[in-house]
Formats: sequence, structure tokens, C-alpha cells
Amino acid sequence: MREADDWILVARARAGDDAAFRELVMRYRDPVVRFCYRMVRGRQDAEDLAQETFVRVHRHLNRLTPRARFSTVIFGIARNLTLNHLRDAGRRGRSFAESLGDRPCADREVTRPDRRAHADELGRLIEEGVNRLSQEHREILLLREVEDLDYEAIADVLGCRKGTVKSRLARAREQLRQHLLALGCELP
Amino acid sequence: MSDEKILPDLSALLDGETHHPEAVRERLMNDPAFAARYETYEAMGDALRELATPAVAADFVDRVMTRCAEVAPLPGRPGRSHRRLGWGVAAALALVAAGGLFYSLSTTGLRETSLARAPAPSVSTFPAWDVISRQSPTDEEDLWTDEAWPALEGEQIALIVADLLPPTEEFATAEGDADLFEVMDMMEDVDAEVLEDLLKDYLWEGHTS
Repeated sequence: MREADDWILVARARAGDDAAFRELVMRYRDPVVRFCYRMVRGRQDAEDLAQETFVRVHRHLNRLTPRARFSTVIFGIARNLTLNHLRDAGRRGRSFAESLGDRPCADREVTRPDRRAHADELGRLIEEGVNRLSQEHREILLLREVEDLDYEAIADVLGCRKGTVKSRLARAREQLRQHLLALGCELP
Repeated sequence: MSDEKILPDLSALLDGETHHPEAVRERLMNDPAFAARYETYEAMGDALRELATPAVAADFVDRVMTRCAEVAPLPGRPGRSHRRLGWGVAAALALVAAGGLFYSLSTTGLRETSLARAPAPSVSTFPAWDVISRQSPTDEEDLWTDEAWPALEGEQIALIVADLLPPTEEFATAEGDADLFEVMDMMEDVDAEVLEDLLKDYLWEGHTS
């Protein structure tokens, strides 16, 4: 139902309804910023890229077709922008590792001190492990685990086949597991 | 089944996307190490979802709307929603379009160059064919949708243009090849979105003429 709602909002925005486009932005603001942040690891860069994503959607409103899910369209645009950003940063001599300056404040309450400590430590190790992944593995893991896209949607975003999504995701998970073991994480 | 063969299905079981759930579940029941790996994958996913991300600026949506108000949406393309091209035709049109684009850019004064009078390239001189085809995972990608086009960004477009340029005194390197970086320098002044629109317009005009 929500996907149909998205395209209804697109149709209204196309007709000049700014409130409809604003609703779309609000719906996808957090997922897009979150995805960009996990890919480029800079808060300001993530917000800039997320903004640019929505501006591009707005600019191409009259050219979007509802053949794909709207979420795959918007994540596809965000993905391309983050890849371009990472590529350009590499050219400027700034590596992904150098952009790991931002550390967000924890915004989740964990009441038990022992659970809080364990969760913080695992979170830190997961974050480090994800940062060590290749861009290809990082993006597919984020799209599946965090943004909850199914294989078909991920295939649309990445421009590949479902079989490729399945095998690439398996390799990404295994690679992350290996990184966590190397970081000394206690795994089940 | 070996680990190498079954691991993708283990991963897919987590996502409800495996075609062999029985085989995977049987292995899970009989192989503790395999089951531990499944639990690890689950825990990793849970931890990923719980990672904190920075709070988004309160005025994010307002800033987006302000920027959108400054840039009008591009017009739609007539009949576009029903048009699909084979990649062979699309690539051939891209050849003609890129050559025409370059001529157009030169003659509109965006950059002075002796290539303004260069002859139009032929389809047979298109080694960058695979640049376009590599960007598309399917055989029937609609060239005008944003799903396909963002893959062709500045450098790729420059590669296409560079491949189409006949060698000239200005652009020849010691080996006689067109210099990609000269082309990219020349294209630097052209906004990427403007370039994209020009290419699409030439493709459209080439297809409808």
C-alpha cells in the first residue's frame, strides 16, 4: 500500500502540490540520510548527498515512471551520488578511512548497565567491521539489513540480477563476520 | 552440500529468499558450527539496525524544499513511458548524439576548439560501446529513465566523447590517441545535468527524426 501511496504523492507533486513532495521528503529523509551516512561516514556529507538526492527526484518528477518501486528509485539515486562522492574523495586523496571522523551520539536508551556496555562494545565493533567492508559489500548489507529492501528491490537499486544479490549478500555477511573475528568480537 | 554452495542459501534463509529451505534447515539441525554461523548473521543484522546515526538537522526538509523551489522540474518526454530501446539501437544513437553534442557545444561558444569542424564520427568507430552496455544490467534498459542514466556520469560521458573524437592536432597525444583528460577539462565547464539533458535530447531527436 505504501508503495502505491508514494506514487500517488509523486503524481500530486508533479501537478504542483508542494505539500505532497514535502511528504515524500519526510517519509524518506531518515532512510536516505542513514544510508548516505553509512556509505560516506560524514554527517555533513551525508546530509548534503541526501539533499541532492531529493533535489534530483524533484527535478525529474515529470520523468519518473511507476514501473519500479519508488524506494528503489530514490535509493538508486542516493547510491549513485554516494559512489560518485567516494570516487571523487578518493581522487582528492581523502580516503574512506580519513572520513571516519564523525561519531554519532547514541540515541538509544539501554537500561541495564551490563547490557549497555555489551551493546556499546558490539556496536563499536560492528561499526568498525562495516567500515572495513568494500563499498560493494557495505551498500548491499545496508540496503538489506538496515533499509529492509528485499532482493528484488536491491537488484533494481544496484542494477543487477537477484542471483547476484543473493551471492553478494552472502559474501558481505561472511566478510563482516571475518572482520568481527579479527577485531576480537565474541560471536555466537 | 559444501559450505561454499550452501552459504548463499543460509544467508538467503535469513531473508526468507532461499529456494532450498529444507536443505538449509536440515544442515542447521545437524551441524552446530553451521547453526552458530546463522546466529552470528542474525546478531550482525540486529546490531547493524541498532547502530546510531546522527540526528538529521531540524531544517533539512525546509532546505530541500527551498532548493527544489529554485530549480524547476524538467519537462516530461512525449511517449516516453511506452518507449523501450534495444541496447544496440540505443548505443548507436548515443554515438551520433555524442558527436552532435560535441559539435553543438563547440558552436555554442562553450569552448573554442578546432574540433568544431570535425567530421561526425561513424558507428564503426565506437569502442566505448561497452561503456554504455556495462552500465546496463538488462538487455532492454530504457535509456531515458533515471534508473539507467545516473550510471553514465561525467567520466563515462567523457569517455564516450573522447572515443568518438577523430585525432586532431590539438587533441593528439604522442601516440596519436585522443586525450581523455583534455576532453574532461573541456567538459568541466558544462554542468553535468545540462550535459545529460543535451545527450538525451539528441538521442530523442535522433530517434524521432
